Amino acid sequence: MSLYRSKGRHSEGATTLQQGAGEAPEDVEAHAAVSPAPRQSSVRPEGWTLTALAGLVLPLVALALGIYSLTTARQSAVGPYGLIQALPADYFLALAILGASFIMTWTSSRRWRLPFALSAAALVVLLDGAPGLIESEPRFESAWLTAGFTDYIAKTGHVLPLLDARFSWPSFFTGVAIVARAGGLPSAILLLRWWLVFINLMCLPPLYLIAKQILRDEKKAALAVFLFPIANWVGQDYYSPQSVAFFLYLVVVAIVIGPFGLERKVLLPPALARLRRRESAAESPPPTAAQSPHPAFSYSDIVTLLGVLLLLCAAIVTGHQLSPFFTVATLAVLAFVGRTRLVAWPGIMLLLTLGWVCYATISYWSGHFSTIFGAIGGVGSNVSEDLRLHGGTAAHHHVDDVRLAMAGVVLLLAIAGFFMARNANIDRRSGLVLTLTPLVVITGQPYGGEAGLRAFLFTLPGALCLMAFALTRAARATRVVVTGLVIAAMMLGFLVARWGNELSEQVLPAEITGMTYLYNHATPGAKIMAIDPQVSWEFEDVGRFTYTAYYIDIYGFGFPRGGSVPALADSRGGYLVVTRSQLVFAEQNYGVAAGWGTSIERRLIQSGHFKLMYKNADTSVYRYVIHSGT
Amino acid sequence: MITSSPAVSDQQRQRLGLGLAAVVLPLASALVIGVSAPWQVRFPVVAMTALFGPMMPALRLHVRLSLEQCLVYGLGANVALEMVLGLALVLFHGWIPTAAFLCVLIITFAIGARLVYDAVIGSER
Repeated sequence: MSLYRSKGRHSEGATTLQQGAGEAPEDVEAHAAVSPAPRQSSVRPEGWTLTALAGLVLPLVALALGIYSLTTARQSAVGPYGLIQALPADYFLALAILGASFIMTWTSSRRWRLPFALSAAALVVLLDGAPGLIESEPRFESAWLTAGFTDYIAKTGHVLPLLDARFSWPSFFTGVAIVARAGGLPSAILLLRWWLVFINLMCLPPLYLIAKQILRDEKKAALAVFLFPIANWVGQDYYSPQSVAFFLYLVVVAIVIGPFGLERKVLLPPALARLRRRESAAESPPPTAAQSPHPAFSYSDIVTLLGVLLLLCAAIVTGHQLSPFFTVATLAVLAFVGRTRLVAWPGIMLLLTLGWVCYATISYWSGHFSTIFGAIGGVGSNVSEDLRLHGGTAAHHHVDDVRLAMAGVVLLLAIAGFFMARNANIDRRSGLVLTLTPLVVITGQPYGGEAGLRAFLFTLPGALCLMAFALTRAARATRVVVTGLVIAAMMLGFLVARWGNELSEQVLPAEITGMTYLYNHATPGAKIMAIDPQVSWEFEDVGRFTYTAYYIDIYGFGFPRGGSVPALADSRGGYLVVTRSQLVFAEQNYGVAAGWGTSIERRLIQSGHFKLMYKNADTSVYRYVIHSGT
Repeated sequence: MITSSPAVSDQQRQRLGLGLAAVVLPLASALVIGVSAPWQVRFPVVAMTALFGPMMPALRLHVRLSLEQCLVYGLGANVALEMVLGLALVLFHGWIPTAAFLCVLIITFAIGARLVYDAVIGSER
């Protein structure tokens, strides 16, 4: 690469490596003429006006009021529509104050970074911290299991790839385990309650860099960042490898379109474009050193940044199954459409990904080949599974409807923003690539019904930029009203879409007590089964017990004739755990009748194969009784 | 000695700030680890140090990035570093997390000391 200049389209300090070797100069916009430096949104000097003071104070007031109101909420009030039914009126007032303070700062002619940052951070705390303040135990059963895996590695320094596929991509666990051990943390369970807030806060800075790169305006970028917490209803931000992988993805994209960014006009690869545009080379010469306000990079700078990029990609590749493919696809399309100089990097990352899969995860994929590749091309079934278009209660359907509506609004406004930006000074092509490329993954794998959710999450960085642009196109008064209404509607929508299944996704103290009792009394090596997947287990002593890979089929519960129940027959003991969350989950997702749990438990006992071993308000533990001839 | 040129002094202030943080945080972490402080004190200090260093100050040391780019890229790189470091320890059957973390602290401290030195003597790279 020749590195003689950086481009002026970037914000202050957002330097860019200059044309790569073989890059046709005519393909690159002469930034001095076409892409002026990003607007600083304000020309007036900053000062401590009433608006500035309000912009600083109001988010803090909203935060204090919101936190106080959440501490007065009752977990028992969580209902079919989830957490929103337990939220006090003061909480909504706090959100309103926060939204108003952001709009006030945002519409001001001045540029204040601190109020924007405070508003976005307060929003994350109020929206994502709500369950942590209301519920007795940290939420979501998968987070407990992930904490169990982390603790196992922290204590032993080993992985168990045959026990669970996630151990084949262990770098998230190992990273947390190092810090947890050095920090003397007794258990990773202690991280669960505030992980949502932590990881969402972490995502804001790289998202801001991306938005500033695409929108070239700090205020528009601030709006995109403020929209992120309320648009991210996907629920992949619990304590999990994918939550960190998404953060790393954002940093990778920020680097790839930042210092390594490019703005080729034509869609064709440079070699083809050069043939077509040879004559225009003289018309748009590359910018000279004197034209750029930014320092040029040295080769050591490039090597350092590539090293950082390699480190980030290595962590993504070894930390999560699906995220590398989102990253590779996005980087490849960005390179193809001329938005990064790192044209070879997608190939390097793909090699890293395939290398890791071949080297370290063979114990997983050797037994799951058809599961992994069988669904490729099955777009309809994959989408259907991703959207979970089946069964369930009316309230559950309404929650799903709100989710689809939220996704629809974001994507529609993003598309509108793309077309509105036709002649605007933004990098709408990068925005579109970041929005659309992740959606392709749905065609490959349903990923247990979650690929669609993940794809939507990965569309957010691009979609929110284009959406923010669309919202800022109207006249000032209209813009304020429309943006305010969109933010208010999405805040309410978020509370339903994100926390709408809280009745089954919350973890009740009695459920943890019940599982702990089982762990203390079951024989090591015993088999443990649940009636459906919504169970918090494996949070301690991973590997000490065998958890059956399947659950009792709740559709055709033909006990005692067959199904998965005989798998519990083991000389070391077999146990069945029934928790309130499992029962609610079945009612919400599969539409079984209310009170179904009582009927199931009665039939379990009547069968003679199960003996009640432990019971509390929310958990029953049954021991499987082996009869001769069974 | 910080020079009077606004741009240079701004750069030096940033270096000084990052350098001081990169010196103080590892020392604080080493202290809380050394005295086996309760996890309520020890973990936040260690976690903050892990998120801060060594990549944030390292990027400020050599690469010509803006401060916000240094912070964001450095944050991501630090998270990735802990992950890959932990993975290496597991893969090579050498699970010594606290010792490995102490090595990270030493590197962070060294980079921080260099940044402070650069800022104080006013040498611009």
